[in-house]
Amino acid sequence: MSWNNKRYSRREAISTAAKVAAGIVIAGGAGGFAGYYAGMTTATPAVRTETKTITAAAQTVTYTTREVITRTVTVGATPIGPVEITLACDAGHNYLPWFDTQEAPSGGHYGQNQAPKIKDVLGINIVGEEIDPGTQFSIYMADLTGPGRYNIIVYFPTYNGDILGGGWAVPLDDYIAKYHVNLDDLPPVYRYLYCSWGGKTYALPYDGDFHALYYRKDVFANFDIRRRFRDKYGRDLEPPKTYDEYLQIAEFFTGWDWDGDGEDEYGTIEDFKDLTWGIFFDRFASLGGLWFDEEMNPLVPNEAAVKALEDLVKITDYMPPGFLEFGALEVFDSMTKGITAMTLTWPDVGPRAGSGEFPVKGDQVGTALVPGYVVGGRLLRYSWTGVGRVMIITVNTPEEKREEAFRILKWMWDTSVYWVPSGLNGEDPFAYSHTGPGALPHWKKANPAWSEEGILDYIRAAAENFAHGYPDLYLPGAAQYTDILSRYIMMAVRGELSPRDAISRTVEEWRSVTKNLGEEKQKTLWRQQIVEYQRAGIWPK
Amino acid sequence: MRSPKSLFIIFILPSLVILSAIIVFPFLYNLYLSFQRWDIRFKGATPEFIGITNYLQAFSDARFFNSLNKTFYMLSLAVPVEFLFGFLLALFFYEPFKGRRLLSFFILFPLALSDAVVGLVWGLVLVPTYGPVDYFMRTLGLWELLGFKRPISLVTTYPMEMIIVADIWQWTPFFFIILLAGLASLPKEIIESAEIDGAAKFNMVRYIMMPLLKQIIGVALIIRIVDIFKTFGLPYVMTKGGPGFASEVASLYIFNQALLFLNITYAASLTIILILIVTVVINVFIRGYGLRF
Amino acid sequence: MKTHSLSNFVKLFIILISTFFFIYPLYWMGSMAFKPETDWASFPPKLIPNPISLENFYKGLFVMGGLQGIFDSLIISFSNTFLSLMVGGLAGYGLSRYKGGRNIAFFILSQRFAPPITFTLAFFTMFNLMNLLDTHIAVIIAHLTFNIPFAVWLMKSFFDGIPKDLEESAMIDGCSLTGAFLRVVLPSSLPGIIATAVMLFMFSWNEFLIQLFLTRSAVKPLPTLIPRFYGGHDILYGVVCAVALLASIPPIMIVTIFQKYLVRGLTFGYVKG
Repeated sequence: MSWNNKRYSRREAISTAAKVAAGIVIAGGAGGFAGYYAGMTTATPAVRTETKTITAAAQTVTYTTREVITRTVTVGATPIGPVEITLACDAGHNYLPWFDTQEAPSGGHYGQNQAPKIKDVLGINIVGEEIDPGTQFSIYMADLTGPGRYNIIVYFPTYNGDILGGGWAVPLDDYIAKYHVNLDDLPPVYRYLYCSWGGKTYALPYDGDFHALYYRKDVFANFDIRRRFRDKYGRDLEPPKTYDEYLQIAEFFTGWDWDGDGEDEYGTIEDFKDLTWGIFFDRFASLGGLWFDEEMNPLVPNEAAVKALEDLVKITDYMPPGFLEFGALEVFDSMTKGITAMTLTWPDVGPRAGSGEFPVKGDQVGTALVPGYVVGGRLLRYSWTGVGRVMIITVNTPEEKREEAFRILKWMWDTSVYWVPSGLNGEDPFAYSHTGPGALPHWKKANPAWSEEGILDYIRAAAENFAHGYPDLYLPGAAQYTDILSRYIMMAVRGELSPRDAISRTVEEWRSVTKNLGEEKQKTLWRQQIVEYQRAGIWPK
Repeated sequence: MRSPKSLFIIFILPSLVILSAIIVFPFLYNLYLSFQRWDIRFKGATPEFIGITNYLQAFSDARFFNSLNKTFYMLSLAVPVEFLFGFLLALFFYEPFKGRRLLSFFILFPLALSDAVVGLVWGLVLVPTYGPVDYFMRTLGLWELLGFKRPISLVTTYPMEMIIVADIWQWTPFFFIILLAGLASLPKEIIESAEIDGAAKFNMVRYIMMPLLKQIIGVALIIRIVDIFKTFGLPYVMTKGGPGFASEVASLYIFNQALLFLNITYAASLTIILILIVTVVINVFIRGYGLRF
Repeated sequence: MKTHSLSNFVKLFIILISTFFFIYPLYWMGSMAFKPETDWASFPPKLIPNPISLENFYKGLFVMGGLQGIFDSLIISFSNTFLSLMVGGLAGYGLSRYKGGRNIAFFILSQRFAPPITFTLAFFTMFNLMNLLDTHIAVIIAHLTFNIPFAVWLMKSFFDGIPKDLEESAMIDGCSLTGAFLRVVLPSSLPGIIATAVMLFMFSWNEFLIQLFLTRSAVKPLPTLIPRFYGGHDILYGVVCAVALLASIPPIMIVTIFQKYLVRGLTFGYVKG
């Protein structure tokens, strides 16, 4: 029996249709209502506030660093009217300096949680949003070009070309002068390359990232090992000053058990997986390399790029297996778990070792300035200061709120010496006063298991490294340029391409990216950046 | 005489209306963008019409072709294995046996994990020095057995293959659950009469079950094929498309273009091309497979 | 018989290998969840967590918003599954019985072809205009784009497997079409409905990109919390694993509850003849 023979009366059809429609409406309505209701009840933005009393009396703390820079922190300044500022910052750890529910008088959470204090003292209510670092760029651009809700954003300076060069940030020079922010406290690379564009200052740092050389102090000091090294190479075992020395030492430590734990160890380890171009740049910059010259020729001089890549390929023989896959954590742990004798990586290794929770402890790890190359008779050592974070006031912020927003920036600037020393939040020192002896009490409070000598050794080396900082590429399209460079570096390291081919292909693709983005526009923006390079003293004369 | 057609149309209507309402704008917006050039990063920039330039650029984009290559490679290995493996398991689990519920619970577990988590976990399992697989291979001396002087990193040496393994792990349960439901829906009588007639298991599967399940298998395959073109989370977390360009599948490349390089208009044209490719592939599949609708 | 036990042995072997294959990464994930941070990258790797620590769970649930995440994801996924199943299932039935629906069926399926990236920017603009950013309803609606097509097609194929005679016999006996549908067709397609519902829930529960763009702080579904664990330079593997474990509990519970319907020979209701 088929359907066509069955007769449907009009009434039946309508009644069925009505039942169906009713069913859908109810189902849809129920589902929709549930969702909508839930949406309504939780639609209010989450504002985390804490009430805390702070002594109203002004407290002044003065530090003197080797360059006799004095810094004053005043707590108890005059509160201003109730203002709300919307902040966007990296999610997770990096959010702790603003909001930290586990604020503590000592240990990892020491010095965090500034937003409630800002509310108490300055009367400014900070509405904070945590943003996924991976898609941060597009989320910020979507907001900047769209709703414009964020007043302060914390982002990676690698987007400076897009954000500062694109005109999305408010110039801060006037406020800096008015509120006596002493920019001399910053090393050239942060002051001019993180925070400025085309001669004007637009940002204040939130995180300083740099590369440092770490080595097993105890192993380097071991008499037998020193003797073996001397016998083999005819010189003393010291932290390497050049990349050739670095290669030699790495070779020495690879393939035998020099710490007596029953497993063979390796010479060194570096970060390949996430920011591959960074380790290339430590070397390339130290050979006098530039991202672009004034005419937008990429990776000049090309020969230096090839040599840097060749050296990078050579050193991989002395790394533990799987080094290409290691995220930052595994790289740090290669040091703290005693797998390698050295590592060239982020500032985190010091505090991690200092926490005492790993087999290799704070005093066993020495920090040094990254190696370099001898170029034209001079030893050139540059530490790549990629990543990092800066804070800006967005142009979408209404005029009346801008000064308030700056007061927040200044507060974070002033209090940074409290929260930077914590290894927990991932923020690293960026100012000389963070690494001067005056900061020592805060380092000790934030890292109770770390010895004083260990801390001093670390912070001195940190200052040296960021004083020798070399910036990342801060042009629009930086993400695209570095993506291409990273991929070709990986191919060279895996032997799929010769370093020479890898570099020439990179250069070729970079030229087409520049063309795509508008060669004249890129040139103009790059020349604005060169101004900053020159102010920082990094641009070759 | 009123035909029942109108009744069925009423059943179908809500889906059509809802989908059209929510899809139309994004799709048309995407199409619109693909003919524009928009330097979105610059303040005050507006889209400008450039015709088919983006599409022409895509056709000479070696990296795009590489990504399509990788995607098809993944398709050709992952889907058949997932299907066969899932079907085999469904056949085995169709009859109750001791411990069946517990085991099938574990087999279905990967479905409850998000792509990114699967990528992360497999990355952790496979990482040398710190991961268990390498640990076993080292202690049992298996690396030397396979001819490697030093342990190698599986994820960086065979990135696509490892991604495929992780994908198989995550999606075989998809076929498992659907085919199990399919088998459970088969009319009892037909199966039982075949058994009474003494049909061998293999023949039963081949000549009775599979034809009855043909439609369901077909739909499951289509869904999975389409999803592989869209696979993003897994390769992103496991390899980020590396090393080099070895595992940059199509959706990863489009993601990079759109959200990393901010070339959203170019990415829009790549998306349209990808959708066209998927449409063609699915059409070919439906015709070749003989999926009835 | 010899051949019989050999095939049984092979079957057993395959089942064991498969279960090992599926369980091992889960085990590793579980062990990571219980390891304190210092042990996440331990050398040599610790196969059994020792000491066992609950800090990852605590951190994930209470410090990093895991609790809210579970709550938000549950609302979104349940609502979406319910909607998709109702609307899509109905359409699947219509398409199954209506012979001329070929083009419509393909159109519906084609909605699933577009990679999620297609929708992110457009949805962001769309929902922003409607002031629905950061609400559950925006995500529920957005997820319909891939779940309705899935529900339509899968249910259609299950309905295809149920002979029309069933409805016709029921109608001869005096049921209206709706009655036949509810009383005969639906119960016979129960395994299909279960499988579809489970997958709909999973697809919505685990979707990442669209949720990331549409939510900020008020609504924080679980997958969007994962980036939080990439703090600073390091990834909190243990916490991700702990949260993923917790996140998988609701979907797994659903699977467990409904597993018994996925057994051989399940046919309810009308039988012809």
